[in-house]
Amino acid sequence: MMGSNKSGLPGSLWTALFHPWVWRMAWRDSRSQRVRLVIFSLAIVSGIAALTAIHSLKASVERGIASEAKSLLGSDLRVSSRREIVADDVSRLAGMASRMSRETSFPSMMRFLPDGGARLMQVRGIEGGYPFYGKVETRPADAWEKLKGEGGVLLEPAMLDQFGAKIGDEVELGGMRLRILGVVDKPAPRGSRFSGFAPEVYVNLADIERTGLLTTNSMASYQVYLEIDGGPSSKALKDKVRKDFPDNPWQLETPEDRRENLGDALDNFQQFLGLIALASLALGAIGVAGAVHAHVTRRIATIGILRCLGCPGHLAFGIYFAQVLALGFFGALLGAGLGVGLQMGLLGAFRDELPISVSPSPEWKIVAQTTATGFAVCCGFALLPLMKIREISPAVTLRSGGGLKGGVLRSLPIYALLVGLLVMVAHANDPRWARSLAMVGGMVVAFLALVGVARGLMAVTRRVVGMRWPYLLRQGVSNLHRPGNQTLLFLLSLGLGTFLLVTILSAGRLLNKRLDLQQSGKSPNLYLIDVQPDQVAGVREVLDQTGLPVLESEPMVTMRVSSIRGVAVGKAKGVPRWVARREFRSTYRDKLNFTETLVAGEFATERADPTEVVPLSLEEEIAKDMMVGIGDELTLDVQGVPIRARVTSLRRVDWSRFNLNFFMVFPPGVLEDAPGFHVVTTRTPTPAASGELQRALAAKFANVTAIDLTLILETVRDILGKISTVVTVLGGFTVLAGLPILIGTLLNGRDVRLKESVLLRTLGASAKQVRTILVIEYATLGILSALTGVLLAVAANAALAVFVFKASPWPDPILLVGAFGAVTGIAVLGGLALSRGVCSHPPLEILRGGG
Amino acid sequence: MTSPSTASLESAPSAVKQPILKVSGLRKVHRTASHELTVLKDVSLSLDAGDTLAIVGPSGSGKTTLLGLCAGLDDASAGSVELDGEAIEAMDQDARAALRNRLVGFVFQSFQLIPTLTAIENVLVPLELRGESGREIEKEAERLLTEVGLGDRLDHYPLQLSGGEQQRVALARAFIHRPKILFADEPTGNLDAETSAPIVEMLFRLNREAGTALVLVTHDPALAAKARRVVTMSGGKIVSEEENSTADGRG
Repeated sequence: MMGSNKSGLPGSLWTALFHPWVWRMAWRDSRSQRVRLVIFSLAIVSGIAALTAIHSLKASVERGIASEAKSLLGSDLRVSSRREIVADDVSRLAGMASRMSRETSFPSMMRFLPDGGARLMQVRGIEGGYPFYGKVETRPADAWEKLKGEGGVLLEPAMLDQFGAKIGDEVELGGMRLRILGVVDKPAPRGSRFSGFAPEVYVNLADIERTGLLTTNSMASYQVYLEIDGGPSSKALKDKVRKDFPDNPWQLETPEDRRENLGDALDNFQQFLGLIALASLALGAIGVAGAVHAHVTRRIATIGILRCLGCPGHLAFGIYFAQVLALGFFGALLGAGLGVGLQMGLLGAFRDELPISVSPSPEWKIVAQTTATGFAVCCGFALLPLMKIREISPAVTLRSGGGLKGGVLRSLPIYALLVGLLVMVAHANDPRWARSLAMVGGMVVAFLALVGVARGLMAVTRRVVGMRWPYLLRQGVSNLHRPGNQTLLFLLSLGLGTFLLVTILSAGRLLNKRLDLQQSGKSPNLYLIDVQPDQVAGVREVLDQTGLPVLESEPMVTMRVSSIRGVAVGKAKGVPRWVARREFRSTYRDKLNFTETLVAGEFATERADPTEVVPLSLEEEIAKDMMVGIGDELTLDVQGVPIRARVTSLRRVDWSRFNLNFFMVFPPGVLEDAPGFHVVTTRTPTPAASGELQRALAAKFANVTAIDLTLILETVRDILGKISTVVTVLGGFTVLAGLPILIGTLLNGRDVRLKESVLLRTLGASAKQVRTILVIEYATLGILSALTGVLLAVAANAALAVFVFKASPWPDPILLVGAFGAVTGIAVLGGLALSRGVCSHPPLEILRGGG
Repeated sequence: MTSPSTASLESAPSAVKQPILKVSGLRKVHRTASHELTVLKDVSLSLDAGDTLAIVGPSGSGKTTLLGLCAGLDDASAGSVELDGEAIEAMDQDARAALRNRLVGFVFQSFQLIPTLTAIENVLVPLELRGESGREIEKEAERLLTEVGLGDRLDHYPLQLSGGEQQRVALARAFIHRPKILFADEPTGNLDAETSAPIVEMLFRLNREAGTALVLVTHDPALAAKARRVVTMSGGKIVSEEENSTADGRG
């Protein structure tokens, strides 16, 4: 045309996406569909919001856990020794850190004044600013500071109850009289779980050095705590200390080492977060695919006209891809904003209850990464319906009808790309390839199963429906296979949605159940040790009288390892030196307890032949440290008596529950005559109950020592409780993420059935008849989607339970029935809502307007 | 009236003019799992530039199928279609689309306006698809819409227009890019007699002014009579052809 600007339209999709006409057409095309396109955006928003929130939360929690692990240790590096750390070494260590603190601890008798009640105590003499991380909580609140200033002692609350003492009273420790400044509610971190077998008493280190109490005590341990402020990592510092002090047999501990105290709960939590992130993204992506499918289906006529007027396929594709990109981009930004808000909101809401100090600040790098990934995955899923645009024939302008067509084979590269993208997302969550592949593989299997069910349903209904069937039933069921049916799309979107939601909710329950178990009443908080074999019955009786349960009662025999595979342990290649020094506390019994799992071999329940080598069960990690496996022979020195034992089984022990467990377990009939004692565990509800029990025991069995783990347990339990809450909240959020799928599916159904139903109305069908036909179709689709989705989720749940969470594979029947009922109910309600739309509008309005 | 033999239906070869449309041995078979349905059987015809041809016949005789194949909207089972000397069966879908944009205009029974575009935007699409833009083409679209009596409805959407008005927008769109051939499928099929008359008048007038060849599918004998040639189809075959010497293409 004369005088016009003629630039030529782009010849490829890539250039089309930068051409103003394509964007102008994309804008024009959106005019009557903006509400629907917002729904498409919602799917992206929810998917990316979930992904961003979860990944940010994960990063924040990881940071929080790292800092909490510091609180559990109280420092960045703990150097501990049974020999005094000489002043020169102390000052060299101090030179490596920004702050340094010392502790000397040892057992000693303490006498309560004035009546003289005495108790073996673990004395902890501390100087400096320790703990550098976390806080010692005392009553009164300033008692910890007072201790460092004016001197005195701080005791565990049960001690005051046990000895009827009160704050302000005096105790005698060594030659010193010290005033009780207060009680410790949250103690300073200890070296290890069994640093001492006695209640703790805190004193100022300077007071200890003044008394000379230490010179006669060989059971002391010496600690130096280091804080690094912006310096090297704890691990680097640990390596440096190891290198700079090669001859000192110090035990070095970093916060990372301490993380193990939280057991596998954290790992499970991280895996659950990864699962939720993947599922939420997949839910969003399915929502996107469904919404774009519905949108493009409504645009078939327009695309046909454009093709007829000379629009090449890549330009038609470009128009709708541009819409997806634009909406996807804004949806992603909105989703990222929402995700950041959600992360900060969740952290803010639970901040006070959290023992983990996590600052609710955005993790911008994670936000950028997850937004880009989510955007790519959502646009990738949109390609599935968009690819079909190229298959729309211009002949639809002459004869309309039919839906989007397109062979699966042509979409195979897109499917491959999407699976690859999802695997990458899964891998970012869980570095173990097998698990990432299994998770995405599970989704692919679910997808294929739903396609199979949909195809099967169509084939069956095509064959079984006969002319003798009542009209309404025939019409409703035939809708499932007739041209323009929504069977495949409905089953895929709602079925996959159900599958992912139920899987997430089930996994959340699995994890919560596991956390409950870790926090349950089965975990003891009071250990009674040194119970002689003839005292076990008496101790049980005392517990019974005080109304406390006997959780565990097991014999304990101490022993050392003298040789491994016939080689003296000190010379055995690769075996660490500490194995030779370590005193192993072992037991004998004929069964595994509930915190143990057999991982290799066979657990020996008896010693079959007294002349044979003794069968031995080892904890799997200690077996790794000792570099032994099934069939290897060890010689054990049981207080002077050598015993030859062969490793016949390996056990995994869940140490996080604080139950009574042992590295070595023998069958009965081996150690009964060896000198040893029993350990009895119980759970006391309050410090007062603990004090009462300890008084009662002291009166009858003076030799029995009680170790109160309440304070340690509370810290760990607080963390687990918090994790449990977050799991529940996030599980609920995925339900919201599934909402766009539902709306998209129902809107698509509206497009398919509205005109047809209006035609029936025009031909004289009553509202009830239209409703019945729609409800039959929707109920069938709803039941099958829900049933397939739920069954697939049961399978996924079992796999997760067995392979990831190590829990019972049986799902919660209430959840399954609830999900089935809810999804079916929603589908039927969708059908009813559609029939309402049909009956509340004049038929001509819909016939003219094309719905 | 001439003989209905296929060979005689082709126009006499011209030494100077190449036919704008040449159809040879065209066949269309629909195959389903259970049977085959032949909807076009060895149809041949040709049309010179600027000529007018009406295709008439009962429903199901293959008229619309033939139109669709001539315009490259569908694939033939056998035979060939040449538009302005270019064989469309050898082209892929995008090449056919480009050819249509260059040579072909369309008017449909159901108007086929894009519902999300205003009247003027609908008219502009064929030019925009050529990569043209600017005030000049907008002026041309306005001129055409004014010519069809819609100068004051430029920014109305199809849903805001009556059937006759929509068809007038479609006419303006059909001529905006000055096609060499116009295919019209029942252009008055959805309109009453009163509304049809001006549409028909405009169709032929614009056709004449632009020198465009016209292929018209219709049930309406009165409309068919306005074309210079009329072919009658039945059972997928051309059964007769008439040359209307009185037709002047003036509508």
